[in-house]
Formats: sequence, C-alpha cells, structure tokens
Amino acid sequence: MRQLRHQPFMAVLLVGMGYVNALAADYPSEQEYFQEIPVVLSASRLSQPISETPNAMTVIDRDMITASGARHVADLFKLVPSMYVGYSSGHSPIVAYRGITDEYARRMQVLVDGRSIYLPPFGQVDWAELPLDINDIERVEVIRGPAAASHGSNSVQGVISIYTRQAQDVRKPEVSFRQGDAGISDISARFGGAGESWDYRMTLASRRDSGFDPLPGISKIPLNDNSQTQLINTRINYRPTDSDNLDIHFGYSNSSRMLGDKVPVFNTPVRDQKTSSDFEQIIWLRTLGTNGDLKLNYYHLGRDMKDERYSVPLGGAKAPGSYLFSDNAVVHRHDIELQHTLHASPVNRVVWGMGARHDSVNAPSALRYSPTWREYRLFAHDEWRITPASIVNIGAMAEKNALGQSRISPRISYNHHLTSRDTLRASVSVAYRNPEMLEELGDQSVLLNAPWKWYNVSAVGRLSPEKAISREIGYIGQLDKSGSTLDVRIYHDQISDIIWVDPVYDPAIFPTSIITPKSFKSDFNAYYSGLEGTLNYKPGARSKLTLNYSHQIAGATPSRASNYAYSGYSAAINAGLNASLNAALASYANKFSRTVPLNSGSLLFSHDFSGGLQLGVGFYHIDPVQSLDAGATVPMQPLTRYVDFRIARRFGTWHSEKAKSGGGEIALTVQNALSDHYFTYSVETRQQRRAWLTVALGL
Amino acid sequence: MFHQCTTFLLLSAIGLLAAVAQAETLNVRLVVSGSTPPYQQFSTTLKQALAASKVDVVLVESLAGENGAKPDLVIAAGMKATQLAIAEFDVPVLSVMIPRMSYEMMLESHPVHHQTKTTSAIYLDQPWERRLNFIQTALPGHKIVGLLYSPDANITLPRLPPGMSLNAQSARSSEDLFTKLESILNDSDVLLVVSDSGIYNSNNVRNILLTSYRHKVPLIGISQAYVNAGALGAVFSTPEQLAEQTARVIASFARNRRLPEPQYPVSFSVALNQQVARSLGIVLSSPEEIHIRMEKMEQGK
Repeated sequence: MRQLRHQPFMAVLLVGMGYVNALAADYPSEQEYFQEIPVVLSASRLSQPISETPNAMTVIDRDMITASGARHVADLFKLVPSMYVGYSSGHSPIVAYRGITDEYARRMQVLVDGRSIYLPPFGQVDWAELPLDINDIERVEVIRGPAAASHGSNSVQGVISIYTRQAQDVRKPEVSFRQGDAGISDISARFGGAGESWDYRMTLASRRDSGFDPLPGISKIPLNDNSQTQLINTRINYRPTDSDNLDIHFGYSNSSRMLGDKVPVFNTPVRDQKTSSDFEQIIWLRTLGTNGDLKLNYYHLGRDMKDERYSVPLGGAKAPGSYLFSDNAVVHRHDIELQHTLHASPVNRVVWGMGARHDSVNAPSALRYSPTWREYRLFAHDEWRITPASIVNIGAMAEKNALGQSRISPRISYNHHLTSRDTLRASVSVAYRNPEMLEELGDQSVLLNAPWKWYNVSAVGRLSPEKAISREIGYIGQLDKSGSTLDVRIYHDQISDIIWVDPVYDPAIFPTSIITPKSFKSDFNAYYSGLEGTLNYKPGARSKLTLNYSHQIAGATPSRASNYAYSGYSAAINAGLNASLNAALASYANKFSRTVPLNSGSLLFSHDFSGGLQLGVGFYHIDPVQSLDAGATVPMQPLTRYVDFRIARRFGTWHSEKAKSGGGEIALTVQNALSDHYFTYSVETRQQRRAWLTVALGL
Repeated sequence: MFHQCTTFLLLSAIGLLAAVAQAETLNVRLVVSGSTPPYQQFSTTLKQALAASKVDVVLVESLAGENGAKPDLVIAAGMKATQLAIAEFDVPVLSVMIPRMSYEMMLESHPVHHQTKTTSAIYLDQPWERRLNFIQTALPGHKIVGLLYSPDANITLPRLPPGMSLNAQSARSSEDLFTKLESILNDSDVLLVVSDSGIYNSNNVRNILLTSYRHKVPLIGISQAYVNAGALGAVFSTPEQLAEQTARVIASFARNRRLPEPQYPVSFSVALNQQVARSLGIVLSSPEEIHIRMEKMEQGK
C-alpha cells in the first residue's frame, strides 16, 4: 500500500473583475445570500406586544380610521374605551379620558410622532388646527392609565400617541375631494418620492365647514362656528449611513374659526380667531448593532393665536362703552430628548434617557408676565423577562418642573402568561400633572369704566402638581388563531391635590369686578374606579369587529373648608363668603361623580365585499354625563347613541392589481345616521345628521 | 441571540480508507469568486475538512496551461468562478455556493460543455421543502405564505403541503412593488424572501422589513444578515457547512472519478430573531429544537 499523502496545498484563484459574462446579469447571484443588511428593526423600533406592555393599550390602525369614516382626528378617540369625545362647538372638540372636568383634558399626554402637542398656557390640545391630515395617520396608540415613566410629565390618566405615515409610504400622488352637509368642503393632495438613501412625503390640505346649526328653541346662543384650516405636512427620511437614520418632520397650518354670538353678550361679539401653528422636528436614530440604538429627538412647536374684539356696551355705569378684549397668545416650545434602548441581556431590555423642555409664552392678556418655563427629566425603564412566562416592567421618571419642584414617578407592572394565549397583568404607578401657566400665573382683566373691571382670572399661584396613584389588574387573551383578542381590566385611581377653579373674594379686586374672579387651588382628592374592555373579533377573513365597553364611577371630596378672614370685610361678610365657598366646594364634589358616564361603549364593524365595495359601521353609546364647566344651570348631556357609516367603492388599480392604470375611491359617509338631533358636551350645541361624499384619485 | 446548528454526515472511516487506498493523487483546483469572508471561510474549512478526511488531494493554484498541471477536478465557488471554470477548464467542474437557478441557466447557456464534460453542483439555496418545513415547525399557525418576486427572476413556485397555501405575486417596478407588497401582506401569515435582486436589493430590503413589521407579518429571510436586520428567522447553509459537503464530494470523486447529481445543501442552520418574535407576539421554540424537528421531517419523508 502506497503511503497516503495528505498535504492539501491550498491556493485560491480569484476571478478577475474583468471576467464578467453578460449572460449572468439576470441570474440570482450568491451575493444576495451574503449581502450585509443594516439592522432595520432595531431595539427602539420594536414595540412590546399588548400582552407584555405595562399598561392597557388601544391601537387604532389605518383600516379602523378608514372604516370609522372620521373626518376629525378627535373622532377617532370614540374608539377608545372610557374616552369621551364631545364638541363644545363645531370646531372645538373635547377629548378626555376619564371624565370631562372642563374643555381641556389636562391629565393626558398627547404626542404626534413624539412631539407633545399639549401646549401652554392653558394646557390644551387644539385638535382643529393641527397641521395634520387624518389620512396621514398610520396608527394611533392610546395608553389607558398613567405612563409618566415612559412618556413623561402629564401622562397622568393616559397617553395618546399619533404616528404618521412613514416617508416611504406615499409613493404615488393622490388627490382627494370632499363635499357635504354643513358646508363641508375639503381637498387634499399628497405625493412622495424615494431614493436609495432618502424618502419623502408631502401633504397639502384644506378643510372647511360651517359647524353646528343653532337649536331652534335656543335664541341666546345661535352658534357661529364656521372654521377652516389649510395645512402642509412633510416628512423626510434620510439615511446617511447604514446605521444612521434621520427623520425630519415639518408642518404648518393656518386656521380661522368663527367665535361669538349673533346677539353678543358683552365680550362675545362675532369674530374670527386666527391661529397659525408650525412644527419642525428632527429625530436621529443611530443603530448600535443588533443590541441597541440611540435616539435623539429635537422639535420646536410654534403657535400664534390672534383673537381681539371690542365688547358691546352693557348699559349702566359699569361698562357704558366698548372695550378691547384680547386672547392673543404666542407660544414656542423647544424640546430635546436623548434615549438609549439596549438589549442588556436576552431577558432584559432597558430604555433610559434624559430630556429638557423650554416653553415660552407671550399672552399679555392672560398671564401676569411672559414666562419662560424650563423642565428637565431623566427616565429609565426595564423590561425584565424573569421566566418565559413572567415579565416585569419597572421604571421611573424623575423630573424638575418649571416651578422648581422635583418629583419621581415610578411604575411597576407584572405580566404573567398563564398560557401562550392568556395573560394576567397587575400594575401600580404614580404620575404627576404639573400646574399650567394659566393656573399658576393667570391674570385676566380689562378696565371698564373706572373703578369697574372685568376681572376674570387672578391666580394665587404656589400650586403643587396633582398626584395620581393608579392600580389595575388586567387580562389579555388571544381568542383564536385568526387574531381575535380580548382585553379587560379593572382599575382604581386616586388623584390628590386636584386643581380646580376657585372663586376669588379678595377685597382688593372682588368688589370692583363685574364678575366673580377666579383662581386655581389644589382643593380636592378624587378617585376613579371602573372596568373597561375591548374585544377585537374577526368574523371572517374580510370582516373585523371591535367592541369597546367601559363602566366608570368617580367621586371627589374637598380637602379643606373655607376659612376666609379678610380684614377688609366684616365678620358677617366673611362668614357669608365662607358659606358660599363651602357650598361651591360641596357642589363641585357633588358634580364630580357626574363627569364620567356610568356606561359607555363603541362598536366598529368593517367588511370588504368583493368587487371593491367596503362598508364601515360605527355605533356609539354614552350614558348621561356632565362637564364641570358646562355651566351650573346647564343640564347633563343626555344618554346619547349614534351611528355613523361609510360605504366606499374602489376602482381601477386601487381595486385590482390587474387594472392597467388609474385608480381611486368614491365614498359616502353619514354621521349621526339615526337622528337629526344630538347633544354633546352641553345642550346648547346640537349635532345633526351629516353626509358627505369623498372622491380620491390616484395619479 | 442567534444560534447556528451544524450537522455532519459521518462517513464510514473504513470505507473511506478502502476507497482512497485505490485512488491516484487527486489534483483539485479551487476557484473562488471573491476574497470576501464567505469565500475565505469556505476555502479554510475545505482545506481543514480535506486534511481531516485523509484523502490524497493536491489543490493547485494556477490557471490551466500556466504550469501545465491539468487538474482532475475544479471546485468553483460562486457564480463568477463557475463561469470561468466552465469556460477555461476541460475537466469535471463542481460548482458550489451557487443558487440552483443560476446554475441551471448557466448550463443552458453552455450546452456544449454540458454535453461533453461533467458538471455538478452543491447549491447555495435551500430546497423549498425545507423552507416550508421551517415555517410549519417554527410558525405552526401561519398557513398562507406570501411570496413576492420579479418577473425576470425565473422563480419556480413551490407546491405547498396540504393545509398551506401560497399567495405569490410578481412585481416589476419599485412603485408596483410596494403596492403588491401591501396586497400580499394584507392576505398572508408570513412573507417568504426569495433570492431575487429585482425585489430584495439593498434599496428595498429596509422598506420591505419595515412594511412587513408594520403589518405584523413575520418575514423569513435567506441569511443570518436578514435575521440580524429584523427578519423573524431564516434557514441557510454557512460556507463552512457547504465546504464540509464539498469535501465529502471530493472524497467520493477521488474514489470513483464521478461527480454526483447536483444537490442541495445537506447541513443547514436555523437562525431566529427572538426580539422580533416577541414584539410580534409570536412564541418561538429554540433554534435547536426547530432544527431537530426539521431534520426529523426530512428523514421521515
């Protein structure tokens, strides 16, 4: 036997670059198997599944937005359990989670692509003027419950996060026209483009309507609530390297809305309130391999509102002439935040970061001076998978608010997968609502015929943040393989130091004011308890049903008794004022329980018929409810049930991929289809049946 | 996070010794298409595997004619190398690290060579059956398989096992691509990536991953890189696994001077992205477990 040679002398022959067979051009090459791909779904892009989040969450996706027929962004929140949506006028929606204390929902954070649009000086979200077209919304996520540990200050009762469509998602231009009842006349155009390292989309839109119609029986306030908004909204995505991603957003809106009464009462003449809003934002995401990423988010929001008018003479000696009233306000917000998301180990995902906010407001007719408020925050959150079936989410935010007060908002939750389809969640969290500029620094007065004044607000100041402690137990179940889910929870929230509108009897201003001046004080402790749930059910491959239900109770107790002892008044007057304030405190506490409807719910059903026909039906139910500031004499919003539906027909390429060119959709939407007579928020405003036709064309 | 499993086919040491004892020294030429890590890993492992196999082999470096030493066998790693080998060498060629489609198209364009010389291949891509086994094993509830391809890609669509269905569409332009992708994602449980540079090129992969994630449809890639980038999982063969298989074919050639029929990779790896799975609410078994179950399915057929 010959000796075996085993001397593999390895040499490598490289094929020269010049040797390229033209025939190879269309062959799949091995390069596709060996190509490097940058990490796309990096740590911060991966959201937690609903069965593992520390809070209850509602997601409204594009299909639901379309099926609901909603024209206003605010109407989408009717699809969130326990969320109240009403209109104080045709252009002023009110969105509140857990009861309506006033026109502004102050205990809720609202974010659009990570920008907080909950703005000073009043602490409000102006839904009507947002530089955002509803068709640019990709999805809405609503966290039900406090989430300060992950979403920052004022995430007390809930967080609304609106995400717009990605830059790369608008590839073909399209235009949309809408005409209908109540003067509805909308037009929008969107287009976009894509390159190797960048994408962009842009939307131009205009919407207008004539608001609600006056109620035949009520002559005091015939509504003048015409409104119109023009907007531009742009998003650019640029990827300078494989690991860097820049998301640039900017937008501008110009809106006008009619306010006032045809028969004005003093300072409510008919006029146009004009507002311009703009935002500029840049988000830099740097991927750090497969284990984490860094995100730097900077944005600026600007808002300039002009509302000046002369009052009508009151008659008598106090206000014989016309006086200038102004609600002008200029607001600028700058916010910067750095966030590091890290898969610290296979069982730990850590998110931590820091941020700073700079709010400056010039509203001379509303505030004592033009303040600049700075807030700082530091946050950390850990998602820890103790065993495959047990997940603990633990986190906290430490913040220093503009008043120099420091607070820590912790949150801990435990999710346990009983089976792969059934999960139980228990959580406890603390969150704070910082006082608003108006609450701390409000000063609204107009000098009439001296010494008489219209003294509306005189804030005493020195407020502390409202504190909320929330406890909940929830169940999340996957009902079948087609994706039907059930999400139910019971909760008990306690809010202490609730800031309310407190009458001012100070002898320095009260006797010469033609109205009772108001201040803001932390005088109440309140609770909210209830049960809420969502069922998502798929009756078939082309049908979808969402059912929301909420049962809520609320109550409040005053944390003090009135103890006025003004030296300028006699003992009898002080006693009278104390009695009056104690009555006001008792009345507020009494009314508080009516700020939540006992039962409320919604149902959304959608079905795709063959032939490009789509149907969406929404049914909404809300038990009697009353806003605290709708007026003492205004009765409760009665039990309200309404039905909206939308029927759409798609044609051309929108219906069938086989169509050669041209595509679009024609849709009929009817709101309040059951009746022509609805009250929301107060019985002074009425909603009627409305129908509109929308035609969208792809170009 | 990621795990690769490797299987080795064990050869009978006695049989091997008996075979090589009768063989002449085998002159093998290795031609690779590039100097990037996959080719380096392939050649390094091939060298080690041949050394371990005790086959009487010499691997020569120069082109035919330059030093007159005509090889007995050419191993061509990759497309370019295969084209060169077929054109330049008048000896049997074993093409490796090449997608099956490319290999077959190349043979068609060289009919003369095909008739007169022996060629065979160890493909780079996985058989459809194996990829579908992976979906059945890792994602049992996912029945509708979405597949997007370009009309130029010459994709042979697979036949699906009972209970599963295919939702395949071809897309030509990049604009058309995302309309079709949305349509596929709306009606599919899983999106299966195919080797098709008309669709899955560096311009599009990012947006395809983002779009499928937004639709909550898991994407099954063709490589570890896909899994790192955000695909839920992939079945693939590493250059090392292919080199091991190549060494076995060389050993067999040394015995009988015949190349086997073109074959798919025997050994494969399973990679999973557990973070993406969790985010999509999908509970995955471990890659080891999935691998074992897939092997059983292949053996049981």
